[in-house]
Amino acid sequence: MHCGWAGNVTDNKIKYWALNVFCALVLAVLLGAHMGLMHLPGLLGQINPAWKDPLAWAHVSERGRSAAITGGYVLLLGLALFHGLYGVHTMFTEFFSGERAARRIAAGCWIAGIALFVIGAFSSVIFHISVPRT
Amino acid sequence: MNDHPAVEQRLGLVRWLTGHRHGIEGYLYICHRISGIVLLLFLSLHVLVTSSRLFGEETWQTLMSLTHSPALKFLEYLVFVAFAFHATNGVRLILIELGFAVGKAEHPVYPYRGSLHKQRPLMIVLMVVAAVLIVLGGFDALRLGR
Repeated sequence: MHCGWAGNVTDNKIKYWALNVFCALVLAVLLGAHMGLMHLPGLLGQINPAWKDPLAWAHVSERGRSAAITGGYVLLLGLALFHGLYGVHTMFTEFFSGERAARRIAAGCWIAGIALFVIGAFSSVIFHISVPRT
Repeated sequence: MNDHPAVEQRLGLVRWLTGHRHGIEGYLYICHRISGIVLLLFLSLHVLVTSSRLFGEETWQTLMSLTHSPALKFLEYLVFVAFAFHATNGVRLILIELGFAVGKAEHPVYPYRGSLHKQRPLMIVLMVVAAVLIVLGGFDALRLGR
């Protein structure tokens, strides 16, 4: 069996692993930018005053009006949830062995991931649609 | 019985902190998992909190005013620390996974040249990057924060 990036593509484990690594690479860039803008406002506000208070309602609304940013949030959420729950799945399968346990862990991760994704994506899209245009 | 191997199990604080038995990478492995769990828990909470935008400006302002307390500011900083570490250590893991900093295959001729000679400098560089980000985040939270 060829194990690697484009190895045995019928093996779901390899596909999920490759997708997990891909998510990690994209997250390093997207989430890096998001965390920088949201958690380093004092420093980045020196560069651009608009970044000084990213949590002010005016700025939150402004970002909400942008379809690109809303799409970016949904993409970021999906990637982060997949990457995070893939990690949780790996850890749980190290604690509990057996076919039955593996199925339950996978089902739990999928349910949690889909639920959080639906809540996050729904609220982002509805906010984008409903936020007043000035 | 003093030369029994069990006696040698004791490492002492300094050797434990420097990863004597498992290597520093062993500790990074544990920290990577802990920081990952912290980030996933934060993400779940973050999704629920940011969904409150739908209820309008007043609800949003009320929730955001809670985040100005020193305790929540500190927790927010801890999330940033977890992210900075997890991201930089993750870059290290991906680089090694993709075959960078592993070195070429060689005949096992003594003295062995382990791939650690390439991996350890990479680890040190990326942990310095993480430390710089963590200090910047702390500086921002303490001095320049909202």
